[in-house]
Formats: sequence, C-alpha cells, structure tokens
Amino acid sequence: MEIKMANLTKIFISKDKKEVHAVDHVDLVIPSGKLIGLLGPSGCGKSTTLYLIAGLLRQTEGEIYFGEEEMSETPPEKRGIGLVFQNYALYPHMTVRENILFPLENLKVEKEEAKKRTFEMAKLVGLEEMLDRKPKELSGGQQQRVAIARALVKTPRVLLLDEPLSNLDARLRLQTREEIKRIQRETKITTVFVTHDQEEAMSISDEIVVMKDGIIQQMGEPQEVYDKPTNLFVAKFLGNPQINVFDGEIKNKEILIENMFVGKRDLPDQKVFIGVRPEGFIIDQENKSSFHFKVDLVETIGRDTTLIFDMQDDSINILDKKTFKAIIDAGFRIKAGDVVHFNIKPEKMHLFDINGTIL
Amino acid sequence: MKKLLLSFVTLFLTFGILGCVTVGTTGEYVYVPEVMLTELPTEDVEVTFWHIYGEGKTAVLDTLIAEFEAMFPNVTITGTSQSDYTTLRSKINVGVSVGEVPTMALGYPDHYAGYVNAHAAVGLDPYINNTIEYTVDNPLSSINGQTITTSIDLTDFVPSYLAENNQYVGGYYFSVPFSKSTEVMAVNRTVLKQHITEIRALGITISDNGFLSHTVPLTYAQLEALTAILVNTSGTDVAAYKCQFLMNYDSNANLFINMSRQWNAPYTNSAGDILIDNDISRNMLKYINGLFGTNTLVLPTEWTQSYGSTNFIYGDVCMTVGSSAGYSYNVPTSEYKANLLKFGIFDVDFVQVPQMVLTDATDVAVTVDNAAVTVNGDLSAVQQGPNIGIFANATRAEKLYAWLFIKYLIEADNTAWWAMSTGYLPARLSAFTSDVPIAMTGTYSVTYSNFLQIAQDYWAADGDVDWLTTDERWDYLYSSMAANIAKNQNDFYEYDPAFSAGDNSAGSATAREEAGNCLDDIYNGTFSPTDSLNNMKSLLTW
Amino acid sequence: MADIYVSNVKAYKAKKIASNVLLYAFLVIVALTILLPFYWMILSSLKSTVQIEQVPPILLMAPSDWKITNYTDLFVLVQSGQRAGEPLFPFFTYMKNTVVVSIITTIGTTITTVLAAFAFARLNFKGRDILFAILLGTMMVPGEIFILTNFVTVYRLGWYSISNQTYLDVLLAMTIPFMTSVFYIFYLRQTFKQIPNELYYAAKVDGTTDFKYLLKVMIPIALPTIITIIILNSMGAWSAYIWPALISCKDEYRLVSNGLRGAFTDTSTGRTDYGQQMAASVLVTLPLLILFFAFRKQIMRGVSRSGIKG
Repeated sequence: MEIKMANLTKIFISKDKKEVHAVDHVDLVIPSGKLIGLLGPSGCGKSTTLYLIAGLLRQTEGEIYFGEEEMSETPPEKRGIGLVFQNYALYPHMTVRENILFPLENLKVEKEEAKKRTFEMAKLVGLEEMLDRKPKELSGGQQQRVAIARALVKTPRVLLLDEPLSNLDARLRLQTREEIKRIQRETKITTVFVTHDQEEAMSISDEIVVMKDGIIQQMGEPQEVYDKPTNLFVAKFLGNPQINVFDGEIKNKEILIENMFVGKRDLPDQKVFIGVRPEGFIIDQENKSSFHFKVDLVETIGRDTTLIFDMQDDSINILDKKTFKAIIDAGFRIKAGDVVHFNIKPEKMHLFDINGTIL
Repeated sequence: MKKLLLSFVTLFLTFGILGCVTVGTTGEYVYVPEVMLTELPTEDVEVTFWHIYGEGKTAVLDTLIAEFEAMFPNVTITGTSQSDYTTLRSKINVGVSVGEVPTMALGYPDHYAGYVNAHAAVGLDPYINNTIEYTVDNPLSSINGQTITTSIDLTDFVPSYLAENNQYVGGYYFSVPFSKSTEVMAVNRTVLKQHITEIRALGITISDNGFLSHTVPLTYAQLEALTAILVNTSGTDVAAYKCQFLMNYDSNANLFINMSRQWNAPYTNSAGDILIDNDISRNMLKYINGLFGTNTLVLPTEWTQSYGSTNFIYGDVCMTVGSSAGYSYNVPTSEYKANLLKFGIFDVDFVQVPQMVLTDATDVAVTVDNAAVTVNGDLSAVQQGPNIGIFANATRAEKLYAWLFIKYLIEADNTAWWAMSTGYLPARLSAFTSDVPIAMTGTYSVTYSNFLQIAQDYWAADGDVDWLTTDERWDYLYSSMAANIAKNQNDFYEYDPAFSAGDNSAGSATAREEAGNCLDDIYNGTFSPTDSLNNMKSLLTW
Repeated sequence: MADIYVSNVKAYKAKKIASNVLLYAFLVIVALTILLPFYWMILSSLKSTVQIEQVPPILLMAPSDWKITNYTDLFVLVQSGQRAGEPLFPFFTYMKNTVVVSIITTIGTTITTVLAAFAFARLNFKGRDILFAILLGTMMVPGEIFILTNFVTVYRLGWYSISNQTYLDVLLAMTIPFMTSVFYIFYLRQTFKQIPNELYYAAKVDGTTDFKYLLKVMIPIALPTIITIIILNSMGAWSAYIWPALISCKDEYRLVSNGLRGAFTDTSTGRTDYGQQMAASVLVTLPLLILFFAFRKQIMRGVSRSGIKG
C-alpha cells in the first residue's frame, strides 16, 4: 500500500519557547511494497516523520494518506501499522509468545487463529524454539526479531522500523539487516526504515530518502542517489570514506583545483565546490596530468590502498589542515612522500555551486 | 527561580486549603442557667453515657442502669466504654466541633475545664437546687406514683470534692464527684515490729505488734528520725531489719503538688496561673532533695519503674505511698516466692500519708541547705478520681434523665456499693454509715459500715484476731484498711486546680506531668532543685 | 610452586572458614535480636503479674508453671451489659474488623495510587506538575492535623453517630479517609516513570487503550513496587490506632489494636495486667506470623524487588 505525505509539518515548542520545525512541509510518496530507508543525521526529523506515519504524534499541518485514505484522524491502532523500536520495547514481563500474541489479543483475534499466527511469525523470525522465554533471556538480535514478529503478526499494511539495528553489535547488525530484508521480501509489506547509518540504509533499502532539518533532500534508489546527489549535503552524507570536497573554480569552461586542470564543463566562470569520490581517482602513471599531490600517508587494507594527501593550505594549524583520500588498487606501489598525478573519472566528480546545489 | 516560585505557590495553596477548615471558636463564657422541665418527660429517651470501665466495673454499672431503667421505663441508658481517658477525652473534644457528644460522661476536672471553655458542658446548679417535685406516672415503673426531686444535699459530700467540681468559671458545678480515691501509705509491719523500742523513743506511737496510728499521720520530721532506725543506705540488711530506703512515693507529681500544699507553696490556681517561681517552692524542693540524699524518700525512677510496689514487696523500701485504689499491689501474697522476697511474705499495714504538720497553719522548723527554715504548714492529702457531668447538646429530657441517673449513681447506698466493688471511695459521707447489705459474693453480704469495721476490729485486736481462715473478712481486710485510712484523712483532702492551656501557660494536666518530671530530674541528679524548678517554669509558661 | 599453591589453598580455606564464622555469628545475633521479643511476649503471656515482676526475671518456665488462664480468661463470656454473652476479649470480632478494614483500605489505596501514579507519570494534562507539587506539599503536613478535618467530614457524611452508627458507617469512616497516600503515589510514579516511553507507544500501536496499557503492561512491570505498597499499607492499617479509636462508637466495632490497649488496664489504678495483654498480643500476632510463613516467598520477592528477573 502506498503512503503519501502532503505538506506534512510538525512543529515542536522547545523549552525556551522557540518553534522547532522537526518536519517541514514534506511531500513524499512511499511506493507500495517497497522498503524505504529514511536517512539523515540525528535531529533531522526522520523519527518524527515515522511517528507521524504511525499516528503516535499529531502533525501540525499537512496530510498523510495510506492509499487513498487520509489517516490524520485515525488512531495508531486503527492505522494497520507495525512499529519496531530502537530499544525493541518488548513487554519485559511477558514471554516471547505473549509478546507476539499481545496485538492479536487486542484485535480480539480468535484464540486458535492467534496461536497459529504467533507460531508462524516466530518461525518467520526463526524463534519458534524460544517462545516460552522472557525477553531478558534472549540476545539483542533475538529480542529485535521478537519485536519484528510482534509488529508483523497483525499483518499490518505498513511496517515502520525506528533505528532497529543501532543497539546491536556489528556482526548481529549485518545478520539482522539481512533478516529484515528477507522478511520484507517474503511479506512484501510497505516498510519504512529509519536510520542514521548510510551504509545500512543503502544496503537494505529499495529506495532511500535523505532528510536534513526536517526537509527532504533527495529520494531515489540508493546507487542513484549515491551517483547523482542533488546537493553537497547528500553527496557528503552518503559514501564511506566521505566524498572529497575541493574549493575550485570554473575558468573558461575548465575545472580547476588550485589552478590545476581536472576537467572541462560548459559552465560560466564561477567558484564551485568539486566533489570527488575517493574511488574516482585514476593514477596517471605517465605523470601527464597536472593534477598532482605529494602523498602524505598510505594505508593498505586488503585489496584497496588509501592515499591520504595534505592540501597545500596556508593554515598552520594541523587540525585545520584539509586532507583528501583516494582509493586505488593495492597493486600500485606508492609510498609517503611520492608525488602522484591523477586523472578523475568524470562520473565520480560532482560540481556544486557555492550554495551546494548540483550544477 | 521559577521552581522556587512554584514551591512557594504550592506551599501557600496547600496550607491555604487546609486552613479553610476552622473549628469552633471559644469566646468569653456566658453562663446560661438550664431551664427545668416541670413534668417528667414520658416520651422514649436515650441517654448515652461514656466511661472507660472494663468488664468488672461495667457489670456493677449495668446493674445500676437496670435498676434505674426499671424506675423510668421510657429511658434507655446506653453506657459505652471508651477504654481509656485519653480516647474518651479526644472523642468528646472532636465531637464538640460537630455537636456529636454523649449525653453524659466521666471526666477529670481538667477535661471539664476544657469542655466548659468550649461551651459544651452544662452548669448543674439548677438541677442541684431545683425545688420542683416530679410525680412518676407510668404503670410500668417500679416507683409509679411516687414523687421525686432532682435536688441533692450538698452537705453530704466531702467539702473538697465539691470544691473540685465548682472551681470552674463563675463557681458553678459543671460536674459532680463520682469515683474518688486518695493516697495511702503501706508500711512493712514486720520490719517496724523489730524496732518498737527505738521508735517509741522517738515519741512515735506504735503498738506491740508494730501498728502505727491510723488516725494521726506521721510527720516528715518523724520520717527523718525513722531513717536512722530503719534504713541501711548501702542496701537492705535483712538480719538487722533495715531497708535500703525508708519511703517510696509512687506518684512523683502527687508528691510535688501535695507537698506544695503542705508547705503552703503556691503551685497553680484554677485561673491557670503557674505560681511555682517562689522561695517556698524552692526551699521545698531543696528539702525534698535532702530527703532523697538520706534515703528517707525514694521515687520509682530509682528502679526505672512506674510504681514502687514491687520493690516494697521485695523489701527494698519499708513504706510506700500509692493510690488507695491500688492498695492490693502493696500486699505480698502467697503468689510470690517467699525466698525471693527479702523479708518473706511480711505483714502490711496501711496508714495516712505523711504530713509536714498535724494542725493547719502551724509553723515547723526544717533544715534546708544546713540552714533552719520555718515552714507554715497545712495538712493535705491528694484527692483524685473522675467526676461525672452532662453535655449541653442534649435535649432537656435527656439532660433531666441524665441528671436523675447521676443522682441515682451517687445515692449513698449505690456509691457505697460502687466503692466496695471497685476499690474507689464513696462520693458522699452518708455512705460511711450506709446499712444496706451489699452482696459481695454469692454467699457474703456486708454493709459499708461493717466493711469499715473489719479493719477497725483488726486494729483494735492489735492484729490478733481469732477469725477462722475461711472467714470472708480476711478477703476484705486490706481494702477495708485503705478505705478507713482514706476516710480518716478526708478532712484535709485537697484537689489539684484544673484549667486548660491558655495563651501564656500550659494546662493543668501538663503542669502536673512537669511537676513529676521536675522531681525525677532532681532525684536523678539531672538538675539542682533550683534549676529543675526554673526548667519546669520555662516548660509551662511562654 | 606446588607448595605455594597448597599454602594458598590453605590460607584461602582458613579465610573462608573465618568469614563464615563471622557471617553466621552475625546472623545468629540478628536472629536473636528479632526472636527475643517474640519469645519474651510468649513467655510473659504465660506468667502471672507477680511472675512478670519477679526479680531476677524468669527466663524459662516449665509447662506446669504456665498460667494458661491468661489465655482461657480471654474467652470467658461476659455476664452482663451490652456485651453479655461475648468473650471478655472479643478476639474474633476485633480480628474480623481489623482484617476487613485492612483489606478495604489496601484495595482502595492500591487502586487510587495506581491510577494517580499513572496519570502523573504518563498522561499529559494541564496543571499536572503544579497539582503534583501540591500533593507532595501535603506530605509536609503531619497526619494528626487531618484528624479533626477528617472527623468533621466523616460526621457530615453521616458516618459518625453516637447512638445510630451502623457497621457500614464505621467501615466507611475507617477506610475512605485512608484510601489514598501521597507517598505511595510518589513512589509508584517514580517506578512508572522508569518504564520507557517506547513501551507506551508500542502498546498504542498494538491497539491498547490507556487503561488497558496500565492494566496489562504498567502494573505487571511495576508489580514489585505495588506489592511493597500493599504490604506497607496493610501493616499501617493493621496497626492504625488513633483514628479507629476515635471513629468507632460501639465496642463491637473496635479494631484489635484498640482492644489490646484498653482491655487489660485497671481503670482505677492505671495498672495493666501484662500477662493477659501479652496473651492477647500472641493471639493477634499469630495470624500475621502464619500469613507471613504461608506467603513468605511472595512477600520476600515483593520487598526485595529482585523478583523481576526471570
């Protein structure tokens, strides 16, 4: 089922009586059956958006549609949603079985049916052996799966996940991520997944929505957003290591970084930010390119080598020094102090105007 | 800052809300005499009567109630025990605030002083002096056709009982005496008997069998002299028949108050003034402290007890002053293990409480701080025990019948019976000569005058009576002794002025308590006599 | 090496024994401190007044010396008066009253406490904080101050009447004024506040009403605290003295606490028959002890709060 948000706004009044626009005139369509990653730094309004969809918060302005149905007046339990929390929010005094059964009891589902569905759900999340345990006797990952089973048992139209992986350790996080993906594929339920971890969002989502200060920055398939960021914020937020941002300029349709030629673009003369993904550098072994730097540090991890460069900056303060990173094939033998010449893959280079908008 | 403000607002609101409830104000008391009914009411009347009596005394009371209800079949007397005076008094005090109080109740003078202040008690003079004759017109009544009055003959009462009950505002009677007791002194006759020659050498009358006078009290001067004969300060010496202490005084408060009267030392008055800050009181306390020092006088605090009876029985002290109602606690019986008592199961006699002088307004010289001091003394013995009164809220019919019931309770025969059954003293003098036989057990009946005769006969025979061991008189010997002693000292009963706490000073009950503490503090060496008195004054006045 | 190892073991064992000895000695002392008053109560209940006052005190008594009449006399029937035909110490009547009053008060207190604590912890309404502050403010007012105002209220409600008080009246008068406690509300609110918000949201999504959430989630989670409140409150109700004495107008409405105080004191001398009073105290304590031993586990769990585990 499709979820549509129109002009959705949520204003909180802070303690010093200031208005905080947690969600600011958001227009967003979440297509049916998709897993959408709602991504952004903390405080960007992603969780608020989720709670607005869930009906746990009431928007200040705007509408939320589930399909054709406007939901603003519908209480959470009537919206047909399943919600999974960062801290799982399992009922500590109930067993796994009772936890999963709880929503069904409230829906007054017939007893045998409820039992069957509970077991099916437990099976889906791989916990059919643990039904009689209390949450405290489960690992974090298992608890999270119980929470997912509880959210899914009432066959909701929408599954909402609020940072569901952030309380897990790295290994479990990967595992559970796959699990969530699998479950979503099997159930084909429209899912909104809130996270601040871009890698997580990109790996799990069919589409990602990047938010900042309550405003949607960009939406699209993860790779597309990665490859074609619409602004500097998105470009910087996605990708690890981060995109390198150079102060540059366009002069006579030539793109210059510190007066070194890096490419051509048919644009008027102006100052620009030049974003280059670390993997966008190609080593010019013939040293023809004028774009060159002295290597400051070399890190080789497995098949990749990361070169770290100091920008030739006037700044004396070491902490303020601008550095950039280039990831190259580990086959190149380069050591610190070498001067390296680069070419840049055009598709990995993004130009932004001084306001951060893509050019 | 905001939080601070919030807390202030909160406090203000909280106490503001609580403060909204105000309780009955007490203005200047205006005495409005009760209007007497001219006919006996014939409608059904319920009189509620609150007391504090347990089973034994309730049984006697119930009999009297039944007799009264037979005389007035339209009246129901509902007697309820409130179990103790504190509860009784607080229930009436809170009840006054809403006008829900019993028709009549038992109470101490300071209780009634409070009730009078709250305009809750009825002035009884109109009933006492009422000249209307009422004819009982009820065929079901045991006295149908007879004429009755509400008046009582005040001359038949011990004068100090009356004085206690009309000490309130305007000198009206707001209560009448009901159950009375006094203090008597128990003496270890077995010990005394061993020192007859020495005691006679002091000029003290003592019989061959060790009986002291029952009509003439000992003086404190004589006690001081007896200490030399009867006391071994380092501990009871059984072989020499000497106790560690001469005389115990159970009630430290009574010692203070009664001694003040014997010394003519101002203490308090019914107006509520605390008068203890004077030289006579100071000298008195110093004198008492001297008696403590020589082991002539001891307080139960010596043994961390409330009463000295146990130590008297165990032989630590030769004499003990206690309530006449509690006489039996000072008699060693076969229940005790004789080998644990220093003097075994010894003989006990009862005498009057010691006095400073034997005639009112006589001077006596005492030594205080090694200096001679002249005391202008009076005779005085403590009078205590509850009175009975009626509350203003009741209807005229209820009040009239309540009064008639009170009058019935204190009729000579009834008060005599009450006295013999309970260990109290009769409220009126004619009870002493009452010749109505009262059934004490299934087989034994005795009139009050014969009851008094038991001890008199025993004393007259110097303890050598030829009664059979089965003679019931043995069972009443000690209560008869206590009753005789009480009767013999009723000429010099004094009451403790009663008053409620006022703007500048505490109430009489607190004054009493602090008087006791004052002596305990001196006894225990916490304060010197002067300091203890100052301390007491600071606790009672503000 | 081996020697050092062995001597370490020895030292360890010696240490362990020493610490065990100390531990058990401490436990024995504590146990004695707790048991001694009980023993003294039972011992005194079997003594006559003379024996109680005996110097040196009797520490042990052969069964043949026991004054069983202290007990049997309690059940001797009263011959005359309002209470004719009832036992001297109407143990069962007083006990019934105490039990009924304790149960009603405790149920009432628990209900109001849970509801109020929930409202103050979870619901958002105007003036919540100031209302709560006012409630806390009342904790600074000593309970005695309320006696008079409560009395007036109870009287105006018609529950206090010297000649016409019914059993229902007295039950209402004894329980209604004590069916709430600011302290317990505060205590439970703190516990409720520790329950994460998400649980509330989760329950909302799962389709519960506020009330059902309270019933199904908050109460079970806060059960240890609630049990503690129940235990403390019943203890309070059990030993309540001043108010029940003030508000009951008939002897058969009295609570055991009041009965114990008044019944054995000689009114003319103010002296108490301690043997008989102790016998009655034993009878009153016995049901509590039996209850305690029967529900030992539950009470311990409730008090120690560790029960939430597993």
